Amino acid sequence: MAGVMETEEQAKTRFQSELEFVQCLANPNYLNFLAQRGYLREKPFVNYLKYLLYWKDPEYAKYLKYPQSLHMLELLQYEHFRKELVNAQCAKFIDEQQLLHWQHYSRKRMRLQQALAEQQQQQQHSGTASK
Amino acid sequence: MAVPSRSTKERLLSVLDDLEVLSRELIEILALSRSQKLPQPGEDTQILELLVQRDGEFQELMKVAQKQGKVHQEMQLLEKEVEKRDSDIQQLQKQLKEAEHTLATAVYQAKEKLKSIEKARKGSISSEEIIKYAHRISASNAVCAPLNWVPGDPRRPYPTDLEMRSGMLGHMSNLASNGVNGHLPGDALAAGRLPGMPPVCFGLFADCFEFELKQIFKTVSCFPRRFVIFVDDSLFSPSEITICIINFQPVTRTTEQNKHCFYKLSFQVSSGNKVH
Repeated sequence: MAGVMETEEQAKTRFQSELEFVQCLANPNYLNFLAQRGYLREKPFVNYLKYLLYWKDPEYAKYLKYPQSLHMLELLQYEHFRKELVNAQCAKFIDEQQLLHWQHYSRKRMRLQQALAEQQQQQQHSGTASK
Repeated sequence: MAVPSRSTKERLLSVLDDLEVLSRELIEILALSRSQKLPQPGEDTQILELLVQRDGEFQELMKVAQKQGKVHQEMQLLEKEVEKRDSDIQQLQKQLKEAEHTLATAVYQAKEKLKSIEKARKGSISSEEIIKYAHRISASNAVCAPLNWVPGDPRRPYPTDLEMRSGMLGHMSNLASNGVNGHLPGDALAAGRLPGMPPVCFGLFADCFEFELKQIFKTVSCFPRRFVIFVDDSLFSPSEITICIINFQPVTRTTEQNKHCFYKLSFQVSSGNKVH
């Protein structure tokens, strides 16, 4: 094992590059791309993914803008998932699910707004009827 | 104390038998003496004496039996007492066992609680930090879709191609690719830089019609047809913009370290109704 002491500059660069890479893992198309070019089969890459698990600690996780990337990282630890990612359908499915989940809150808000609007309409009707 | 060889009951019964025998003899002799003279003159007195003796024995034995009865009764009373005490002790034993069980459960649950407290304390984060983080990830639409999102909007919950390429890693890998081919040498991969990128998108700013394109692929024939374009920093989807390429001039420049191929591209861009 090479005991290379990295300078602070190098450490900063490494932090930034690893941060960017981890977050790129949230992109299922990118994962499909990696799988199809065989990177997910290489042992060094798999070890690197395992090393990246340190981003799960809260003191590191607070820098992540796309928290879904952590889940993808966890899934990537499993060989079965890495094998599945070669299919474009798999990536598409993941993409769709991500999008649907992404829209969860806006859908919920729309539903609430609709419910509120209906309620108000009913109140108006009952108000006018009682007069 | 002499060990009694026969029980009181047997002795009583034997005495009664003797009495019975003696009284029968006496009655026979009396009956005999009516008809004839006494064959043996002292026999009736003997029998009478024996009778009286046996009667005395009988009386004594009766007293003994009475005493024994009383003792027996006392024994029974004591036995009942002993039984009562026994049942009391058993009850106490049951209660003790229950108490021990309850205490053991309580201690176990308390230990579990302590463990969970320790665990919670380990993972504690200040609420302010959590709120700040929540702010950060929601403000950039990373976890919740923007309210005006429609299918066709290129924004996504993950970093898109464009964003990936415009980050630090994208710049690093573009520099190293060198225009030779899209693959990085092995050590660059081990260092954690991004592997080669899929086909190019480029940015166009509305007020400049000529711009520089860094070529990733060797030949122009690989030049992609689909474009994603920034106009005034907002993103148009390809379906809205068509591009007619008017002029295409290769210009080669060398910098100190890397050789880049640049292309000057002039064209006409139309989007929807407007022509720029």
